[in-house]
Formats: sequence, structure tokens, C-alpha cells
Amino acid sequence: MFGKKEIKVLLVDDEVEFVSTLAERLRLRDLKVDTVFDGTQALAYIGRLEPDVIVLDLKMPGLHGIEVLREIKKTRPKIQVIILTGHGTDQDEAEARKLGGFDFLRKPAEIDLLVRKIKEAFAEKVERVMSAIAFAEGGDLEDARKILKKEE
Amino acid sequence: MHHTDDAAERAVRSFAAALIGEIAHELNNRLATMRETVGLLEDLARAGKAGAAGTARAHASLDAQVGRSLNIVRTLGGLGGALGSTGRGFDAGAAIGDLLAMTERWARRTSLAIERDIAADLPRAAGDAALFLCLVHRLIHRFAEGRQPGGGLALRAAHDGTGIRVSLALKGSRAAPGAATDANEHEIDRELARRLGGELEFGGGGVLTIKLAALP
Repeated sequence: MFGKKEIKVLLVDDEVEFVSTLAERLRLRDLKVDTVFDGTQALAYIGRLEPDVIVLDLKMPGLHGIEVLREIKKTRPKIQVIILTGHGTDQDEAEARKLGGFDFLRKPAEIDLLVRKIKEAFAEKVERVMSAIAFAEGGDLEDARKILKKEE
Repeated sequence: MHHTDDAAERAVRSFAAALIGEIAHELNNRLATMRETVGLLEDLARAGKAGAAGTARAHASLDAQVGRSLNIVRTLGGLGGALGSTGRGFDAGAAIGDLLAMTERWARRTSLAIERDIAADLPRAAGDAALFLCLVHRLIHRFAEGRQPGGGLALRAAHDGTGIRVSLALKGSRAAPGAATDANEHEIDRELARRLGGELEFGGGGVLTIKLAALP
């Protein structure tokens, strides 16, 4: 469906051992994966590169994951964000979804489920970008912008 | 008076909830890492890539995670023992050590460096360990909120001849601890200290001291 496009994933988690192991497992499943260990590093990363999907922890040193998500959606709304946390509350989940998070998973998540969610998030991103392009080509820039930002 | 009583009870419950949350979070992280490591070993075997180096690394990681999990369980055992010792007093030094171990990740997340100096010869403290731990936990959080960027915390416990003095002081920051905290919070702290049979002293230079009676 997506030709040979490699899905670029950024894992953000302060549990170094966890995130390194998870990255290795995802790479074995043909995903291109980078890792960073806190929210500030994640924001610096997306200032330079654009992953398709970010898998984001909530409780980290410095910026809380929800704040990181808010900033990503403000500055790079095309990037899909999946929350993967060991201790998220229902309130965190509601907030993450409200901010445009693609999904909310709890650690430990089955690897097959995580990979499926990453692929679904990527597919939705591609679909949205294609729709936005179609609207933009028709001269409807406002709708194109809304589609990218997932606004109603 | 009733208002402060209720608030003190709520503070103890809220402390217990926070502590349980931290422990659950920490243990879950250890288990999640172990699960991923076992998954990686399976993946490598399935892909025919299970080389000796990768396997040894995974085993070392599992061993480290098991070690950290056991430390959590031991600390939990220590805290459980202290909390269950009503009427028999408690070891304030050990209780502080266990509390700091359980809040280590929170301290790291908030970049709060805690320097500790716990005397080895502390007598057994009188009072209820749950109240003491709740009070220390609240004060540490108060310091974390009140400090200037980069400020740390020095926590000391010493025998002063008749009782035990546990002091908390700001390091590298001149902000008063909890400067923004309302008077009710201070009242709750005082109430917790009173229920402990001790006293809370708000000293100059951002130093707070909990005075505890020692068991005879």
C-alpha cells in the first residue's frame, strides 16, 4: 500500500534499557527507529527530523509527556503520537486523546499490538496528508490546514 | 480543629496513594523491561540471529532488572515493617532511607538532588512511622516546589541527646521552602508533627526541623 516507504519511529522514554530493547525489536520488524530519553530531547529531535510516529512515555524527567504531545501537535501536527506508559491515568488518556494523540497503550504492550498501532497511525497520517494535498490543490487551504491538525 | 484533623488524615491517605503509585510505576517498568528482553531473545532466536554476545547482553539485562526488582521488594518490606510497628516506635534512619529509595525516580524526574546524612546511632523514635513518613514526604515535595532552578536538598538525621532531629535544608538556593504554600498546608504539617508526639520547627535560612521523641 505504501510502496517501500520505511516507517520512521521515534521512541521517547527515560527507561534506557526498556527503550533500547524495544527499539531493537521494532527494527527486527523493519521499522526505522531512533530513541531519545526525555521530552526536551524529543522536541529537539523533531526540530531537525520528522518521524512518522512517536511512541511517547508520560512520566519523564523535565517535561511531562502530555506537555510534549501538546508541543508536537502545535508545531508538527502531521506527526502521529502513540502514548506508551506504565502509569497513565484515565485523565491522562482523555487529555492525550483530546490533544490529538493517536492511541494510548499501557506498558508492557504486546509487540504485535504496538506494531499494528504504529502502522495504523502511519496509514492515517498518509491518508490525511493526501487529503490535505487534494484540498490545497483545490485552493481550500483552510480545510487542508484543519485536516493536518485533525480539527473538526 | 476538626478541619485540620480531616486535612491531616487526607494528607496521610494522599501520601499512601502517592507512594503506592511510585512503587507500582517502578515495578511495572522493571517488569516491562524484562518482558521486552525475553521478547527480544525470542525474536533473535526466530530470526536465527541469537549470537552469543546478544544472548549474554540480554541475560545481563535480565539479571540487572531482577536485582532492581528485588531491591524494590526489600524496601517495600522495610516500609511495611515500619508502618506496622505502631506502639513500638520505629527506626527513623531506615524509614528515611526506604522513603528516599521509593521516591528516587520522582527526584530524578524533577532533577532534585537529595544529599543525606543519617547518623548511624539513632535511637528508636517514638510515634507512628506512617505520620513521620507522610510528613517527610510532604516536606521534600515542598522543597522541590519552592527551590530555585538547580537547588538541591540536604536531609540530616541526628540524635540530640534527648530525641531525634531530622532537618531539611535547601542547597544552592535561597528561596524559602514552600514560599508559595498557603498557611493551611503549614498547619497540616504541624498537626502531623503533633500527632507524632513531636514538633516542627521553621528555622531561618530555609531549614525545617522535625523533632521526634526517642523511645526510652
